Amino acid sequence: MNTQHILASVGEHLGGFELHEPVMVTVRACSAGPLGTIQLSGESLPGLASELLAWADTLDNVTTTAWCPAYPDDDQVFLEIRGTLTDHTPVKVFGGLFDGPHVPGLAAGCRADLSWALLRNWALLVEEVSA
Amino acid sequence: MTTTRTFLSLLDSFRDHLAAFDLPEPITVDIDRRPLTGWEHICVHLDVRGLGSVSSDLTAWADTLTDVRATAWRPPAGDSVHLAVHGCTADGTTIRVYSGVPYDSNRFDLQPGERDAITLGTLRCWSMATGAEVAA
Repeated sequence: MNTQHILASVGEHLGGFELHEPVMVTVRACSAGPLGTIQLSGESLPGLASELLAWADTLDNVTTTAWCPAYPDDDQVFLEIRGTLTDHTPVKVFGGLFDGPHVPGLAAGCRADLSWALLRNWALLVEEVSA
Repeated sequence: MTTTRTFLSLLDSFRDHLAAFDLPEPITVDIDRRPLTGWEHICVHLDVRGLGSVSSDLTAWADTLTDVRATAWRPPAGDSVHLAVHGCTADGTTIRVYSGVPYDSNRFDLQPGERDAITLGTLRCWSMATGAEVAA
C-alpha cells in the first residue's frame, strides 16, 4: 500500500464519520506497525478521552494503551488507541497531555494497558465540568 | 505566516497535486493542520537512494511548486545531510520535500546542526552528474 492509498483511506474515514479534526496525520508506506498515525490535540483530559472514544467507535480490533516518555520532565502521558479502518488499514490515534492522569502500572519509559472504563470515566469529566 | 487549515482541505490539496504531476512516490507524508511558525503544512519524505537520485527527485518536485527554495541541513549526528525543497502547491499549500544523503566533506561545508541555502541549479548539477555516472 502506498502513501496515496493510505491518505485516501484516512480521508475517507474522516469524511465518513463525525470525528474531531486531527492536529497531524502521518502516513508511512513501509512500516511494520500502523500505516497511519493520527495525532489529536490533547488540550484536556476529558476532551482527549472523548475524542479517542469517538475514534474507537469507528475502528475495528481496537486496543488502548497509555505510555510515558523516558524523560519524565513534565509528567507527560500519551493516551493511544490502535485499530483498523474499514478497509483494514492499521492506524494509531493518540494525544499527549502535560501533567497527565495517573494510570495504574505506568512508569517513565513504559507503556501500560488502559481500560476502557478508565477512558470513559475521564471522558465523563467533561460533562461534570460543563454541568 | 503559518495558517491553520482543515485537515481535509490540506489532504485534498496534496492529492490534487499528486494527481496532476508524475512525481516520485513519498515513503512518509506528514500533514500538519497548524504547524509552528515558519514550518510547512505538508512534509514529504522521499526514499534515500544516493545524492544523484535524491537530487533528481527533489528537482522533479521543485518543478511542480511555486516560491521554491532549497536547503541543506546537517543533523547534529553529523553523518548525513538532509536536502530539501520548500515551496507551495497551486492553491498555496506550503510543502517541504526532503531526503537524506551521506555527508561528504568534499561536497558540503556544513557543521553538525548547521543549515544553509543551496541553489536549485546545484541540485540539478548533482542530478545530472549522477546521470552521467550511470551512463558511463
